[in-house]
Amino acid sequence: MEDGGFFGFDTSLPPVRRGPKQEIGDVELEDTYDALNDETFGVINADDDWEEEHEKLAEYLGEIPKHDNSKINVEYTLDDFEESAYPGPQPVHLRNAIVDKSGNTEFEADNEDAANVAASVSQMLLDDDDIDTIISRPINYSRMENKLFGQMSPQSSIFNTDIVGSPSTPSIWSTQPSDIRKSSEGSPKVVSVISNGNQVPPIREHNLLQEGLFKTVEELERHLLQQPKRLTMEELERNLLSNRPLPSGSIRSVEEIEAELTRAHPPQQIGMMPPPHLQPYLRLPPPMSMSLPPPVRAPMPHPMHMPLPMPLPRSNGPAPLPHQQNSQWNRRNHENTNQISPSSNDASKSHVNEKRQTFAAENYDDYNGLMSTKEKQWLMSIQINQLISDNPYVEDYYFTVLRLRCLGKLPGRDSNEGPKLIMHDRAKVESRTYAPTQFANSLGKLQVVTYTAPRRIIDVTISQSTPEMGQDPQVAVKDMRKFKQILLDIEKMYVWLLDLEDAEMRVESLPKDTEPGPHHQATIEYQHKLQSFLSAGDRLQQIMLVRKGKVLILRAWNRFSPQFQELIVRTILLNCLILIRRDNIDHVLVRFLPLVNDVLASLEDLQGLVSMARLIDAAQKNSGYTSVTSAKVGLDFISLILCRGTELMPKCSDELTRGQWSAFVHNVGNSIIAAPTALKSDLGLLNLEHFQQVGMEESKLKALKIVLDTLTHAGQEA
Amino acid sequence: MNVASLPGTATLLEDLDKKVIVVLRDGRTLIGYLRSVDQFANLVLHRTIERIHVGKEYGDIPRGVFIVRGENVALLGEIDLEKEERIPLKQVGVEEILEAQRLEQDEKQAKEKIRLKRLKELGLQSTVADYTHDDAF
Repeated sequence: MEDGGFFGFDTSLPPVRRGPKQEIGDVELEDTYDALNDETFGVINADDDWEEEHEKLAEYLGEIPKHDNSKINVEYTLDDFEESAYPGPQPVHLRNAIVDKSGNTEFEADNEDAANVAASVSQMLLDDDDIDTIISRPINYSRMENKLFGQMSPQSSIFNTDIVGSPSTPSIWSTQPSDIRKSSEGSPKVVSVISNGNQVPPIREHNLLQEGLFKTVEELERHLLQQPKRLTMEELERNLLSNRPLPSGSIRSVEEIEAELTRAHPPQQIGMMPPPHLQPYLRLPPPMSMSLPPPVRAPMPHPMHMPLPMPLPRSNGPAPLPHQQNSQWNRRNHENTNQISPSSNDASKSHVNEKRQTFAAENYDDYNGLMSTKEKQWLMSIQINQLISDNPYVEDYYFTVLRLRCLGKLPGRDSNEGPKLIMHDRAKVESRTYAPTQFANSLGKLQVVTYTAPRRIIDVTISQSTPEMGQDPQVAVKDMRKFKQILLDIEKMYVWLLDLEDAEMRVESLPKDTEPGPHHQATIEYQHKLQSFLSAGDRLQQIMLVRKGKVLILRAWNRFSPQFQELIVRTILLNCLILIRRDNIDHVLVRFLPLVNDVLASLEDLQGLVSMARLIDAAQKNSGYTSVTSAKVGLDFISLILCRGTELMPKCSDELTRGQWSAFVHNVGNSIIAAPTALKSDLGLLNLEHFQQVGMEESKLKALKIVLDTLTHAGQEA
Repeated sequence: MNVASLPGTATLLEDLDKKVIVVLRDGRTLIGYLRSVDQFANLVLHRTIERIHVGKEYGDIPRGVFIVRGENVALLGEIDLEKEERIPLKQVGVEEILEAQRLEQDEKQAKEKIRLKRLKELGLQSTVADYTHDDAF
C-alpha cells in the first residue's frame, strides 16, 4: 500500500469517484454522509466471530466450498481474473475446487448466476417486470462483477506497467494483453450457460424487488436524508427470508459496497466474500445492477431529468424508477439515444423464445437474434417515418410517378390518356423585367444610402403636374387624393379584369357542351362588375386620363356591351381635347381607332353620327377644330367620322341632320385649310369626296386637295 | 417480421446476423457478424477480424466485438460464405502482413515525396497542407 507515494495519497484505497457514474447529486450528500459510520458495518462487536458468521452465510449462498472452513480466500491468479472476465463458469481449476456436497446445487448456482447475467447481458433490457425472470437467485455480486467487467478497481500493480486496458484485453484493468484469441474463445463458454439460463423458472421469492426496491425517487430521497436505522445481520436475514420490505436506509449503493469491500480487504483478494454484515446489502442492488450495467454503462444522456439521490449509482437509476416512469424514460431514451433499446414486457420473453427456435435452425449461432423483433420494428418505423410525406408529387415527383406506373395505377408512357392539362393560376402575359428609371447622362442607377439600405435604388416615376401657384394648397391636396383614388380604382378594376380573363380561360378549357359551372358564373359576374363600376359618375372620364386606365378599357373592350362601348366612344370624343393632350406621352389613343371605327360602323343613321360630331364641338368650345385636327389622333378620329358620315349621307332624309352634318364637314375643312402644315395622319382616309358631298366651295376644295394630297403622300411615304 | 421493401431506401436489418465486410473510411477492412444496428447505421460487429491486404496476400487480426460509429463506414456488404472459401489470395500471418503493410506505406510515402518534389520544381506547390482529407478515399 502506497501511502502518499507517487500520487500523494493512498492509492490502495479505491477512488471515491468513479467517473461519469457518480456525476449527479453526489457532492452535498457525500459531504454530510460519512461512509465509515456504524451503519456501514453494523455495530461492531469484538466478541462476534464474524468469520464464522460469514462462512455460514456463504454456505447458505452456495458460494464457498463447504469442505474447507479455513479456506476463506479462494486463490485467484491474475489469469483467472482475466478468464473470469467473461460470463461463464469459473476457470477450470477453480471450479473443480468447489466440492458440491449438496449435490448439484452449488454448481448450478454458479451457472445459474452466470446464465442469468449472460442472459441479461445479451438481452440488454431495461425491464421492470422481467426482473423476476432474469434473477432467479441472489447472485454473488463480487464474482459476477469480476466475470463481467474484470476487476472494478485496479490492482496497484497496474501502475507499474505501461500496458493497460485496450480493446484487446478482456478487462480494462488488465495489465497484460492476454492472448487475443483466448478472449474470443471465451465465448463458447456462454453456450451452455445460456441454454441453462433460459430454462430457469422465475422465482418470485424476492418481492422486495417489486415492493422494497422500487420506490419512487421521492421516497428514496426521503429515506436517504433520514437517519438510516441500524440493523444487525440477523435482522436483515430475517427480513429477507420473510419478504418484508426493508426498513429504510438499508439500501446501499453499489459503490459504497465496493468501497467497503476493497477497503476491508486488500485488492488481491477481490474474490473473497464480503463481510457477512455486508452481504445482505449486496443482494438487493446487485440483482438490479446485473441486468442494467450493460445498457446503462453506455453514456446516459439526460442525467438531469432524474434527480437521482447520490448514493444510488447511476446504474441503478433507471431500475427503481421504471415502475413509475417507465414510459417516460423509455420515450426519452428512444428519442435521444440509441443505446438503450426499447423495452416492453413482452419483448424479452418473445426474444427468448426466438432464441430457442434458432437452436433448431441450421445456421445456428448463439448470438443470433441479439436484436429483437421489437427493436427491428422500431428501427424500421424510424426509417419509414422518414419517408412519409404530405405531397409525394411535390417532394419526389419522378419516384412517385414511376411507382404508380409500376403498380398500374397510372397509364404508361405510350398510352393516350396522359395527365390532363393542369391549369395554373393566372398566366402572366405582361411581365416586363423591372428597370428602374434612369436619367439621361447619368452613370448607373440612382441610389440613396441609408443605414438600413446602403444601396437603395431610387425609383423615379412621373408624377402629376405641380399645382399652380394660385391654387389653394388644400385644394391641391384634395386633387391629389382624388387622383390617387382614381389610380386605386384602376388597380382594382385591373384585378377584376385579370380574374375575368382567368375565368374565361377556364371556361374555354372545359370540354364543349358542359353545363355552365362556377367559372361561367364568375365571368358574368366580373363583366357586370367592371361595367357598372366604370359607368358610375365621371369615373370613365377620369380613368381615360390615365394611361393604365386606357389600357384597361382597351383590354376589357370585348366584354362590354355595345351600348357601353358607344358610351365610351362618346366619352372619348367629348373629352377629346384633354385626352389628346394627355395622350401625347402615352400614345394609347391610337389603339382606340379601330374600336371607334367599329362603333361608328354600328351606327345606322346619320343622327347618331351627328350627335357624335357635336360632342367634338362641345369639346373644343368654339375654338374651331384646329386644336383637334392638328393632332394626329384627333385628325384620325375626325376622318373616321367623316368617312362614316359620307357613307350615311345618301340615306339620310332628314334635312336638319344633313344640315348639321354639312356644317360639321365645313368646319373640319376650314380647320384643315387653316393649319395645313402641321397635319399628320395615320389613316390617310381623308379625301375630297367628303367635302364635295356637302357642297364646299371650289376654292376651298382646291386648297383641301393640296393639303390632302400632301397628307396622303406623306402617309404613303411613311 | 415484415420487411417493407420500399424502393429508394436501404435498411441494414436484412443483414443482421450475417457475416459482413465493412470498409471504414480510414481504409480498414473489418469482417464480422452484424449483430445490431440503429438508425444512424452504427454497427455492432461480433467475432470481428481486421483483414489487411497487401498485394496478393492478406492477414487477419482477430478483434472481438466492434462497435462502429455509422459515419465512419464507407462500405458494407454481405459475404458469400461459399465464395469466401475460394479467395484467390494467400493468407499469411499477422506479423508478416503488418510488415508488408509497413513496407507498402513506406513506398507510398516515398513516391509521394518524389511527386511533391517534382511538382515543386514545376512551380506547383501546395501551401495549405491537405488537412481536410480525412478519408482514405
